[in-house]
Amino acid sequence: MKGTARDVFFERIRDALNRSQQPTREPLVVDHDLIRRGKNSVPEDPSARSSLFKERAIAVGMEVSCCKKNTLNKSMVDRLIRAGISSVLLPDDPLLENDSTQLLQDAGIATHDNGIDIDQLYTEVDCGITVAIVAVASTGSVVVASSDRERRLASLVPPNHLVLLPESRIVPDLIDLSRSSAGQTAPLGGSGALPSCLTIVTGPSKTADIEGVLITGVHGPGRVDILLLEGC
Amino acid sequence: MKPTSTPRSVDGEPTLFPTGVHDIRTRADLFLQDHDLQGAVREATTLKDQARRDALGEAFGNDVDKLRSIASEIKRHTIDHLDHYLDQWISNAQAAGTQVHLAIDAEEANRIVVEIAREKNAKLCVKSKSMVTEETHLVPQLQAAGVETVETDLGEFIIQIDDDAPSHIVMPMIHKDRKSVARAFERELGARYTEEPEELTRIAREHLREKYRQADLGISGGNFLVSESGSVVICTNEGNGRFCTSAPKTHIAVVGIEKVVPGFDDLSLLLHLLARSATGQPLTCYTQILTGPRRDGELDGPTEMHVVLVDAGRTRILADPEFRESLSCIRCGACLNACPVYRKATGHAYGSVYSGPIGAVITPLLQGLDKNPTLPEASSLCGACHEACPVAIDLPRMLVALRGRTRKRRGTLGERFGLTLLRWSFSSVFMYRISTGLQAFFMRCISGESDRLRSAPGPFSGWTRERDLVIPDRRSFRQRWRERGGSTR
Ligand code: SF4
Repeated sequence: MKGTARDVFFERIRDALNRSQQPTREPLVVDHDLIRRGKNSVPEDPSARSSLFKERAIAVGMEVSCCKKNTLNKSMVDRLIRAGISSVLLPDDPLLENDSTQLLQDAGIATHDNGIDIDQLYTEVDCGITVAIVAVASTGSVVVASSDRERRLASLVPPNHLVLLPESRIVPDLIDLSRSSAGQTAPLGGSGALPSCLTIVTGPSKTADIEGVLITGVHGPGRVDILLLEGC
Repeated sequence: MKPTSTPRSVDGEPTLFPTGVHDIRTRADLFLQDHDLQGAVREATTLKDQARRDALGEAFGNDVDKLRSIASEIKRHTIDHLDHYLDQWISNAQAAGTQVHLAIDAEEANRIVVEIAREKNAKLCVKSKSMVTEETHLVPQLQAAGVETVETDLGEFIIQIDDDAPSHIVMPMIHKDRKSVARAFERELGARYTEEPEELTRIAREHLREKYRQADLGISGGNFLVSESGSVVICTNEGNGRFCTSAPKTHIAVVGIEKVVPGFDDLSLLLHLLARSATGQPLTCYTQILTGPRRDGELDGPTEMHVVLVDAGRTRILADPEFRESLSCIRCGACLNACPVYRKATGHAYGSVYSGPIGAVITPLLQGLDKNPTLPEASSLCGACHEACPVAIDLPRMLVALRGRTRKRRGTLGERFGLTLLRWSFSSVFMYRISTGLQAFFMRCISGESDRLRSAPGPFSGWTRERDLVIPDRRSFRQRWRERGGSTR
């Protein structure tokens, strides 16, 4: 620890708060759940929830298409070809079947895995494919995490980002990210469980710095496609 | 690129860090003459102000004010127990492998960052937008220590290479047009001259990608510190913040101590309000929750994460119950967009990193009222800032309180006489009628035939210098009301 010692630093804060020693802390009581009621409420029904997610994700500028688990490979190839993509970085994720790589290559799309050289990632990959650990219906966001399966840079460096999202991972609101529900632990649980980096992605990279003109793809991907796996 | 040291000066004094006593009026006079600037700032702030209302109304309808008061309660509670939550944050951050450093003032904060950069032998640093590092003036210190430091937020990058200074918390280059960007890129980057924003953005993108690849140090700010997990939360739109915190081996986040919130429930509520208030988006494109350096097994990310917690005057504000509320600010910029004075005076008039209503409050508190005696005057007290603020900070109340502190003198004899008259005239219905009648009579005497008073005599001339006063009708309001058949008590 550099700089001022912890006890000196905190003594200043306690002085400012006019406290002699450890605080007697009243708990914070506010109605956080107001956020899930009223206009921002999200239907409990899973299919209504995913249609709301779709609507909101599209509203922030992402593309959403749907498929079934057993047509994942085909839909993925279709999507990539339609977007004119010729090389991808694949995650090491059980969601992708063994033959995914082969199918992509057969369709003329070059594939890279996590062993990719960093310079190659910057120059050769058109699209990073990642798997969302969770998604938020009320804001239309997908959440990607650093892990042993995918790189942080996979969803950042290439100009396109394709996110695979199993439908069951959509939660109603941001606040549900920190709450565990039936059989699932919360993505934002205790500190031990957190990955070093969680990113809530809500739209393609954008800026309006120059005279307020909206431009996408400034540093991060200018195009984000979500492939929603229904019933999965 | 030439190293940026002192930002451009406005009136012979540096834009954001005037050395002497700063008077907002002289600077505002300067900017009022600049029609392009006036137009650009008016348009951008009006649009963003409307976008905020639309986004909040659309998402929460009638609950907006309830949510604002919950948000305000969350921040107030945390600030009131800052010792507890900050201590808990530090312990949790350290448990996650983050190296935490504590800085009492700006110099110490800069010193810590430079020291880490030296230890890591850093040559190139990529930096994302951070208000607190603007406040501590970090970049020149790093440059002086031989670390090339590149701002990577598009607006901040342009400002850096053009030797300018940010003039808005959220839209740093609100005061610049595409021509100045085109000229700067041609001059500093050797780019072909173009005024197309798309093209200009692409030029910056290519330039900065090279920097991300080579950088050995990344610096960011932080929008929130989550006490329950020891996380730093960063909200950005462009993706440069993600590069700065992911590509280099070492990441340093420089964060003010007031940024802490208790837990993720609180965070989600504030996130719902922040981007909507700032730009009208439901969330910024990227909300990163960073908890320590790269874990064992993770494929990339920095191997070291440092957080420098900065006091720099914040405990002084904390100690003052009248102004403690100002530490709740989440830097959304909504009060700037809503403020009629900010829209005309524009950001650089405030002579501070923080402009607009929040700047008029915290700049004197952070730097001293004696250096900024006129900043609290930079408000019409219309209340638009209070209404816009997602954490419901009562900025007008604090502006008035600050004015009270600069007005310790007794009025002159004339002023006191005037105020006594005023008190009399309001003391009863009778006195009020008499005095308004007299007032109208005198005004008619001075203005002659005209229906407007164009120049008032003596001490009243100040008022009519910039505006005309309409002469009241001969009949009083009550008279006319009765004539129209209205009932009176
Ligand atoms: S004072 Fe309120 S409105 Fe102004 S920047 Fe801070 S949070 Fe936003």
